[in-house]
Amino acid sequence: MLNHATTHSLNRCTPFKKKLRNLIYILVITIFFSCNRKSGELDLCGLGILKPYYLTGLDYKGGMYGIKEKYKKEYIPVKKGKNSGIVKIRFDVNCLGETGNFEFETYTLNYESTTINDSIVNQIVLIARKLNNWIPGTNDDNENINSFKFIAVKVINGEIKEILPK
Amino acid sequence: MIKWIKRIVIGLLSTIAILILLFVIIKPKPYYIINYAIGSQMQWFGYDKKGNEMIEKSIKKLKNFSASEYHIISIQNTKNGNYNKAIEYLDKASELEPKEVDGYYGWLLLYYYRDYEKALFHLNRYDLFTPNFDDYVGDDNILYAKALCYKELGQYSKALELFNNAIKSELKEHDESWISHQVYFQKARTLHLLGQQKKAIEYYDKTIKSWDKSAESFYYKGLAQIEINDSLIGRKNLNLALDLVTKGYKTSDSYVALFDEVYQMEIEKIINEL
Repeated sequence: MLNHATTHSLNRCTPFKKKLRNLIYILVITIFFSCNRKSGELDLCGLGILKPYYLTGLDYKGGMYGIKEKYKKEYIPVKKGKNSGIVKIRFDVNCLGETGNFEFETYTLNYESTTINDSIVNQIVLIARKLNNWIPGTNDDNENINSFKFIAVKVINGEIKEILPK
Repeated sequence: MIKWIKRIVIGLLSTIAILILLFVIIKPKPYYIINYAIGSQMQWFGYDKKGNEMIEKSIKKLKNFSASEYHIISIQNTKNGNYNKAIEYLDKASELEPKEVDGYYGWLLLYYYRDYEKALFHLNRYDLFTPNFDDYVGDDNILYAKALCYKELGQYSKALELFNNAIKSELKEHDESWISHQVYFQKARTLHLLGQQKKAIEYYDKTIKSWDKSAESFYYKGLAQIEINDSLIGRKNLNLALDLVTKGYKTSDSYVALFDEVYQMEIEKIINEL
C-alpha cells in the first residue's frame, strides 16, 4: 500500500542514467569496498557488500512485534538525566543472520544531534545486540546476503514510546 | 619510432597532470557533481557518514540547490535512519518550496517518524494551498492521513470525523470499490477504540469484502467479537487471521511498520491466552 511514492517517481531512470548509475556502482564497489571493507566484529559473507534492509527483505522472527516484545521485557525506564530523545542503532546482519558493527547516534525529539542519559543509550544498544533471531535478507536468486539495518527507539521521559522503522 | 614513443608518454603524462590539476586542485563543477553522485551511492550501500560528508561538501561548492535536490538527499537519509540529516534537508526543501514539499513532509512524519503533531502542521499547511481540493500525500487522501494522526494522538472522535470525510471525498468521483481496504480498516479500528464494537465489526466486514485475505481485519474483528461475548465466532476469526498471516496474507510495507499491523507471534500469543 505504501510505496514511498515520491521516492519512486524521483528515482525513475532513463537508460542513460541507468548506465551512469551502474558505472558509479562499479566505481564505488571496486574502489571503496577494497579500502573500507568492514572487519572485526562480524564476518560479512562474500565480498562483504551490504545492501539496505528494505531491498533484501531482512526480517526478524516475529517482525516488529518480536523486537518490541524484547524491549518491553528487558528495558528498565530511566527517570533521571536527559531522558527524552531518539536512539538510532545501525548494524549489519550477515548471510547467516549474525549481527555486528553496531553504531549509534542520538537525536532530540526535534531531530537534532544530542546526547542522552548513558543508561538509556547503553540499555537500548545492549538489547539490540541481544536480538538474535534475524532472518537474513536474500538476493534475486534467493541466496542469503548481507544487509544493513537500523532501529530507532523514541524515548520520552525515560520510557520507550515507539520503535521504528519495521 | 622513439620520437613517437616520447610523444605518447609526454601526451599521457600531460593528460594525467591536467586531470590532477582539474579534479584535485581546481575541482570544477563536474567534480562536485560526480562527488555528489558517488556520495549518494555510498549512502545507498550503507556508508552513511562518508556519503553524507561527500554530499555536504558538494552542496557547499555547487550552491543553489533546489528544493527537489534537498528532498532527494533527505529521502535516503530517512531510509538509513539519519534523522538529523533527513530533517535538516527536508526543512531546507520545505522552506524553498512548501507547496511542493509539505504534503510529503507531513506524510513522512506520520508514517516514518510517528511525529503526529508536526505531521499535522505540514499536512494542514499543504491542504491550505488548495482549499477546494482534497490532495493526495503518498498514496493517501490527505483527510485520511490527517485522520490517522488524530487516531494515533488518541483523539478518536476527530479521527472518525476525518475518516468519514475522507470516504465522502473518495466517493465524490468514484464508487465504493475505489476505496482502499486500509481506509475502512482504520475507520473500524477507530470505532473499536471508541468502544463501538458492533459498528467496528460492520467496518471490519467492509474491509474483508474489499480484500478477503486481510489478516488484520479478521484479527481485530475476532477481538471485537470476543469483547461483546461472541467468543466462539471471535476465536474462529482469530484462527482465520493466524492462518492468513502464516500464509503471508496481511498488509505490510517494505520500509516501515504500518499502523495496527499484525504479526503471527502476536496472534498466537492472544490465542494461547484465551
